[in-house]
Amino acid sequence: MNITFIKSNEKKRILEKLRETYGIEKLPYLLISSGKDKVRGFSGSLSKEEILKLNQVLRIETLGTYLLKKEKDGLRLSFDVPTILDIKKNIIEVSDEQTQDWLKGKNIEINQNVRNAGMDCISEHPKIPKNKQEFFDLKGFVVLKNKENFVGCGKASDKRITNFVPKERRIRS
Amino acid sequence: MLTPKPLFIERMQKLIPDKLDFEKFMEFSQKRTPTSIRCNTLKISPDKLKQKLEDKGWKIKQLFSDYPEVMIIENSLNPGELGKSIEHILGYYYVQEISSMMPIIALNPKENEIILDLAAAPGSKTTQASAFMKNTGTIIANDKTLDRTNILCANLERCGCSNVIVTRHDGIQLCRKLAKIGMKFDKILLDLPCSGEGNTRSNPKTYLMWNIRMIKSLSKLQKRLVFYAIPLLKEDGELIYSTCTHSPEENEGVVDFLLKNFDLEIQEIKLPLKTRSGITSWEKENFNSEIKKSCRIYPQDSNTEGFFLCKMRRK
Repeated sequence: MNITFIKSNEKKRILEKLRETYGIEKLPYLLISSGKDKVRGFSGSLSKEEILKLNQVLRIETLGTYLLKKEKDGLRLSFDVPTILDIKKNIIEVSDEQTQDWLKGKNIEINQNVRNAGMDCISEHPKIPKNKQEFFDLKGFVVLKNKENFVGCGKASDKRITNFVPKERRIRS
Repeated sequence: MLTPKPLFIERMQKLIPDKLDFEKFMEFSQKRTPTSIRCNTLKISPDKLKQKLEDKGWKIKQLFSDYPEVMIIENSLNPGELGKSIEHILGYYYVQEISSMMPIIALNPKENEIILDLAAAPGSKTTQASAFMKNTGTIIANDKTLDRTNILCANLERCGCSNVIVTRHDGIQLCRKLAKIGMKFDKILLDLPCSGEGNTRSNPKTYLMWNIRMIKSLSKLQKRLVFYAIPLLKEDGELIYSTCTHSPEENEGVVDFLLKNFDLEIQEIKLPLKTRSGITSWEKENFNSEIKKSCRIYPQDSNTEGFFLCKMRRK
């Protein structure tokens, strides 16, 4: 594995963006660049030097957990991050039915959902109106929540929330 | 229905000489095991998970007060329901047979320890160890093939295990490489490939594949693997040797080999299941009498799969 540790100033920038977008306050990991703009987090006790030494002799497949992908318009969280880090912003509540569809890999069409009044924007993002009926003004990366369960990250536009549930995690119908 | 070969029965009768006990063994070997799960405490508490599952109408029983994460689903579920539930997708639980949870319970990984899991895929025990360690310390989880490490990685992601380094090597090659750079471990899990005689309840096809040559050859492989793994253990470090099989060649025979070649001490294990002592002789071979302290788990004792485990400390 090509291991490149993310430097502390870059980590600060990432945490700042995470705070701004999702209200995440802590990132208790050693951050590693992985593949195309992907970032993994390692919470283990080995130092950078020890990891690099291991990597010289071993075929390391992965290290830590996949956290996020850096995209042009923000940070896209991995499916699991909302279940392991404390998310406070840009959360959209979805119904049981919407959750089932979402976990099957379907996008959430906003107009239809507005009509059904099935969604409840509880975002604290300053740009986002708190009025439930106006949640469709929400743009960019959001985290979906069904009851107490965070069910992944999506990207909201005028018309839909684009589904980022990884294929291997989807419910097959 | 698949049935065991005569030699398998003959060997099991030697291991379980009491007639009634053996009949019970055969009876349980043909029953399905209860549906068991382990709450992933890295993501949710056992109480919360239990509540969520009960809200769906599942009947949940926690078997052991000291290990509330171990749960049985008492009602019957639709095919695929266990794996398709939102709680499974979100990594709140791992579907794991109860006897297979015992090696980590016995190893008792602690926060900040360095652990080696030599044959880790699909990851039930690695994820369990990671939860014991609260994502601290480090686990090096290895398996041999890309297919298997891919499954391991997927399970680690799902369970939010962030203290694990996954490597892909032949076990012996890995141990040699680790020894070369002087890497030492506080604890090692050697849950090695085996003939799977204990898994017949969930995988009756084991009966078809079973043959004595396979047992002899697996025993050789296990001895080679443990031989290279033990030097990686720190002084006072602990290891679990475990298999999901009953054959003494793959169990007590391997432990006896270890005791002959390394300065190890067998430790007593307290498990929340009924266990039986390891045997001290098999066919023409006598084993070290300390091997009595190892644990045999039979299906008829606690309604689980069969298992063997032995805990050792490096002196």
